[in-house]
Amino acid sequence: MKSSILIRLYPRRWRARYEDEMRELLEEGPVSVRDGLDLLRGALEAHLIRDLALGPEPRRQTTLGGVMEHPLPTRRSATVAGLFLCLPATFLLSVTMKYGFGYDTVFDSLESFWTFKPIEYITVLSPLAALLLSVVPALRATVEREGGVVKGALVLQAGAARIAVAAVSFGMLFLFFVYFLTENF
Amino acid sequence: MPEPLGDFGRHSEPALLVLVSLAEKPKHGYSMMDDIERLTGTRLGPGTLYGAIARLEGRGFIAKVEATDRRKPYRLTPAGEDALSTQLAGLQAVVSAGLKRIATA
Repeated sequence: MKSSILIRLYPRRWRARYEDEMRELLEEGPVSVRDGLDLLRGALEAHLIRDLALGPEPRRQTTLGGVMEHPLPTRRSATVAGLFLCLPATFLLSVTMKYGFGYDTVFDSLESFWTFKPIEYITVLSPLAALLLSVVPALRATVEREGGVVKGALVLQAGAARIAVAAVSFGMLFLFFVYFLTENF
Repeated sequence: MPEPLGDFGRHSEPALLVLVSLAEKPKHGYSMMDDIERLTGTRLGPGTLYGAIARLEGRGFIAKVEATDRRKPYRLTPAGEDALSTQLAGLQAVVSAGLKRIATA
């Protein structure tokens, strides 16, 4: 039986702590079917019993309305979301400099760029994409049965950087929405 | 006196065996398996062994010994020694009572 596959069934935090030495142990001799079943049962327990998922403490996390049950999502999606904000941030900065401080060089030099329709759509829709990218991977649905009552909760499980990206995205969306309203109504 | 391994459930026996094994000297996983097999005639499965190790390490009863290779020996901590002594004393009391009752039956 391929022991490496069975070790992969353990939770990530468990593997971070014990994978190397478990592999070492399993490489000492052939892994029997009984050992394989024992590993399967161990992996199941490690998933079910939170205290067993040892290893480095998870990164500091912020909760909005629920109990944490999962480790924090990786930062990859928050980083991509942050990159999505570069274009609208440049646009808003140049607009603010022009209409707020009378420094129009940046905006005017890029005016043909901003008024190019596809760029306009991308600029307006980027904060929405960034908001979705930063929030959706950090949402966790938890369902618990307590005394015959089923309780459900949607939890945002995110670090400070992810929350900052989501807040900035929301702010930009709000600005674009206000601009849209003032221009059209 | 409450048993230190009382809430380990079905893992209390493997955990006790790990503590007994480490009471001799620090050992890595494979050595523990061999030692426990010699002591009891039963070989612990790798999942059971590491389930016990994780529980004991979480309680601070055992700790890793710094090692340069992948084999990570574990040692008994002072808290682990106390827990083992208490657990064995409890078992000793049960064994003594059982033997006495058998002798008088």
